[in-house]
Amino acid sequence: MFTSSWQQVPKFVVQQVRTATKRAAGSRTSMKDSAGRRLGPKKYEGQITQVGEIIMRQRGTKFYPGDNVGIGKDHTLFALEPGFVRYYLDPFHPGKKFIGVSLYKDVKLPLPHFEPRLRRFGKAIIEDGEKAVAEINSLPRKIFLIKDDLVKEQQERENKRKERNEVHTKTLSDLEIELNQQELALALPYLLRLRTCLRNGFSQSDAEFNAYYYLEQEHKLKLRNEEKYKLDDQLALLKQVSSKLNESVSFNNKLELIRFISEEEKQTLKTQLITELKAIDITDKKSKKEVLGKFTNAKDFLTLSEEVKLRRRFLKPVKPETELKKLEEPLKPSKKTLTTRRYNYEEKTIDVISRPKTDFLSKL
Amino acid sequence: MFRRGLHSSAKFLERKGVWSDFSKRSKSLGLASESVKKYVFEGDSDVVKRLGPPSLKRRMNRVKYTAPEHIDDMFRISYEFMSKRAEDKYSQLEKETDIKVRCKLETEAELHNPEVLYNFQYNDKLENDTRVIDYQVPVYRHLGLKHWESYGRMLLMQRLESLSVIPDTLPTLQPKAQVSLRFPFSTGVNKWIEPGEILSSNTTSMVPSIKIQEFEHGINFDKQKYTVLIVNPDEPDVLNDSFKTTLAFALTNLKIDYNDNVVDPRKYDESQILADYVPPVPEKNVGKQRYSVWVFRQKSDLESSELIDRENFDIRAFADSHQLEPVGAHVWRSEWDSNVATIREKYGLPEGRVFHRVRRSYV
Amino acid sequence: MLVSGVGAGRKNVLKAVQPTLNLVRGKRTKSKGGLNPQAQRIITQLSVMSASRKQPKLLKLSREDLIKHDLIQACWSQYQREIREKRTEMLKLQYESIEQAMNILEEVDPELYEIANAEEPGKRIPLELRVPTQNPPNNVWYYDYKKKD
Repeated sequence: MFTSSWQQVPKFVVQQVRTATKRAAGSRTSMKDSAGRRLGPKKYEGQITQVGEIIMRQRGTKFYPGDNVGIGKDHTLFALEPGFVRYYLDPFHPGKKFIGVSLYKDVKLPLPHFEPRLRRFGKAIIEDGEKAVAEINSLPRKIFLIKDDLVKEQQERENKRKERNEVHTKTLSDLEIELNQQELALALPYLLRLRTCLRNGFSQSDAEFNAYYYLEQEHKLKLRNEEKYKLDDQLALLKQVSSKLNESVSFNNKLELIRFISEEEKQTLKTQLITELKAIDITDKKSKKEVLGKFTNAKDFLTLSEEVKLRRRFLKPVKPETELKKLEEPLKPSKKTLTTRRYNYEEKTIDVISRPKTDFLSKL
Repeated sequence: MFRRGLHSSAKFLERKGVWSDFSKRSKSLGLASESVKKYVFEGDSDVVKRLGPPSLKRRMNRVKYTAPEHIDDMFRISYEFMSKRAEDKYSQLEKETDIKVRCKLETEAELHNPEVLYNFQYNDKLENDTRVIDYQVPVYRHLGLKHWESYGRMLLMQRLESLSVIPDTLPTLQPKAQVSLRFPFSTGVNKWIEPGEILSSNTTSMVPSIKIQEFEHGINFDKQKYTVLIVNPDEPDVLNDSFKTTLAFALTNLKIDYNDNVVDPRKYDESQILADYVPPVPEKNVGKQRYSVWVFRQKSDLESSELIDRENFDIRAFADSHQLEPVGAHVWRSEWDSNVATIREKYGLPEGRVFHRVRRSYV
Repeated sequence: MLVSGVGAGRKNVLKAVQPTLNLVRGKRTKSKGGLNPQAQRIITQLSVMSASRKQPKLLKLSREDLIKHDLIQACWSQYQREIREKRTEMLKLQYESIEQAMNILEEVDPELYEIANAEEPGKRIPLELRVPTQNPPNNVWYYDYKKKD
């Protein structure tokens, strides 16, 4: 009994079920043919088409859209320009057939590759005066929506310019630069333009030329119909005013108008400032004030980056730890000290440091 | 009590090779900054190591930064190896007389000089400071060309082709010179224009300044002169229901060189202006107009006395008849905006026509 | 008692011998290459991660070090190029001298030239000429080796 049951052990039990594989006659499969899709050319070689007319219906791109022909999402080809249908091959795209629309009856496609394209303008002039004015005044929607803001911004800019002109006039009179009314009328726009150019990063000489050239052109255009001597007078005056201003005023690094400082003078002032700053050691409120006082006029003769660098060098928010390291033993926290914790990248530990309050610029 | 720094066994790079000798070589081939020079060539001295790389501005970043291990040892070996190769090139150069071969040898000798690579990689290449990047020096021209080819030239060609500037104006272009464009006089804005940009009529109301950067070796700038044409191939021609090309600006007999090459009113006088600048003032509903700037090398001086038909300008015929070789191009686009009328009035141009918004769709 | 005992014993034998197919729906039945679960977990985690995160981190070099690195790279490729050129040059010279010697031989003694150029079918590198290795071969001695003629 034992042996027989041993033999009965099946290796794998596979049970097969046979299902019907032959579909019964009369099912959907054999009735799949659809009605014809009416594909094929709708316009033939040389036929006239108008814009948007369909030239070819096709499955896939049996024909590609050539000149003045568009293609739809089902690859329908249609005319983009009125003209004459052309079926052609293009040597630049071998193995492809093209359909194009030629603008003229006697012009065959493809057009020579390196020749200018033939284009149709297609727009008519509006002859009616009223309609033309209406068309001119109509703005694109995007512009129309922001128009009020644009006008407002422009007005603001204009006001700012006026203010700046007033400031410039005052500074010019303070510096005792004598300009009569006519000269002042040239000097103010010159200074404005010079300032803009300097702010936009032009070099001093480029900015001076740009401002001069701008005004020169403005006058040339304004006085083009007047007698020549008027223009010549004006230009001579402009030249005189601009050279006078170049020699007597300049802009500091905050773009404020100041008296002219030459390069050499700037250099001497700079070295003088540095030696003075080196002499002062910030230990209390008074010395801090003194250092800050030295920087009040610095904007006139230092460039912005120079000033920032010097401020960083001489007005350190926290003093270096060289003095601290010289001490025999670390300071104990008290009222006169400040304790900071910071990560030490070299040792990979956290340092706790007590330092005298006088080491911090803001605590002085 | 012995400080490690004093007894450091690190060998400093003895810069004896050709790359450290500036008696015959241009100053621009060396590093200007002392601190950078020190870090590159004495990177394994203790002082330099403690200070960290000077290109990192924040102190904390410098402290955190660790250079790859043994990079300075490897650098020293490589520097000696490569400067020896450069020396060979310079000795070959002494016997050579052909200018093009000389430029090639000079380029090869300096191409791997770390100081040159540093200067070129981390400084402004378009508005170059000649103390740092001097295009008079062949290696900088070579690097400049490679830099331009890597992006700017491809961008230009793509814009010219997709906007059909070629073949609508000239058949094609093999760009040799980098042309850059900006309008500093009209608004005072300091920005180089990207090819194909749409600009407002106010921006373009005054002449552009055009920078023509040549990279080719051995150009004789005493004789070589340049012509610049700005044409608009999109002016409507109502009579033929098509377009015609107008000339917006034409300059000729311009002299430039490798470094001093910004063409603005300081560079030319009345006699060199073939056609005054007429700013773009597109009429209403005309669409965007392409203003294509073409720069040509001249074979000989151009006579500026002849009359030019500006309204029906044939740029192909003009270039052919004067034997002009196109070397560079640029393009910007203009369209009608509400400022056009003001500019027309300023320049004394007639009031523009107004076209229908919609195109006729029949023959 | 006995019957049941036999039945239990048969059950155990069946368990040991017959391959059991756990037919629980939706449960994975194939083993995954016999990896232990920890290794399997690592593999699963890695496969979920995007390729860019699996790459080693990009070296962040300062400007100066990048220039140094560039020079080292250039130097290494130059060094390799020089070795390569030297080798091809040497091979070229060797080939040329062989060709020259054979040309001279052809002029001096055509018969010897013929013999030197004669085809030798079935000629292989003799088995005795073994490339020396650090360890003895797996098959130490060919006892029934016969030299081919």
